[in-house]
Amino acid sequence: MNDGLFYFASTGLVIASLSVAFSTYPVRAVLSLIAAFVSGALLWLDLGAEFLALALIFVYVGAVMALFLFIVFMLNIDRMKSEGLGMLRAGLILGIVLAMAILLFKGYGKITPNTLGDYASHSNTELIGNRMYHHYWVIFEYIAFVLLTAMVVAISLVDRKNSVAKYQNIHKQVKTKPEDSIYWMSS
Amino acid sequence: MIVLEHYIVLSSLIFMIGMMGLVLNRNNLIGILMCMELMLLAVNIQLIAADRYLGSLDGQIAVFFILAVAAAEAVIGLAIFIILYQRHRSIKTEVFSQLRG
Repeated sequence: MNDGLFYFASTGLVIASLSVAFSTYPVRAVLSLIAAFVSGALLWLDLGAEFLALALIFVYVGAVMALFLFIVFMLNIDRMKSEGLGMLRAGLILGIVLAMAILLFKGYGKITPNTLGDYASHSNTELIGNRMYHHYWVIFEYIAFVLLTAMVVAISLVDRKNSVAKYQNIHKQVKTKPEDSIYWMSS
Repeated sequence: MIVLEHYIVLSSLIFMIGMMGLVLNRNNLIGILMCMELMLLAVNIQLIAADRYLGSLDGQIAVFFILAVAAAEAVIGLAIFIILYQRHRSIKTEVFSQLRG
């Protein structure tokens, strides 16, 4: 693992996440979040998790963040007004408490990367596939159901009838008889 | 030499920034959802780093499932935002107060 790559990617990650948290323009926040994900994928590549790094790029940057970007464009959100000084103070206090929580992890200092044989001899995708389909296949199936449910819920939430627009009613059109619409002007 | 503590500090920092952003953008639903994605990214980085350093593989499986669940959550959240926007022409958090919960 490369020291310079770690510092490069983590600097980019911290800057991008600060920009996500503090920017007032939604589009800029979304683009910064994309930058954060790309930096995170770089870190994961450095750690040897190639499959998940590429999945992060494809699934997150390609699908979910594009969805965010579409929503921000579509909903025409104006500038996010940041909360006043009180909220900033609350956030800083929260941050200091969490920074003290980080110091609890001092004991884990000197763990170095484990170089077991599996990591060297097989590709990451092969290892994950073996593990997932042998030990975790039930959870894999559950995840498929979760994604199916999400799809059904999203479509049924958004796709409602608009009361202003006019729609075709095929059944009614087919059942229409000439007598319903044509009247002979009888004397 | 990068040891595990570097990754612990990095992911705690990202988690902290995400939580501060959550508090700061409290009145904007898109901001809240983006900061939640940031916190999930911090957790995922920590899982993968610990995984690599301790020589296990189960953390990467967990990250895979977290990614799938987070994608589903983001999709449903954005669908709810669209409905809120159609009803109220705004997605501020105070729109939710009509539920009187």
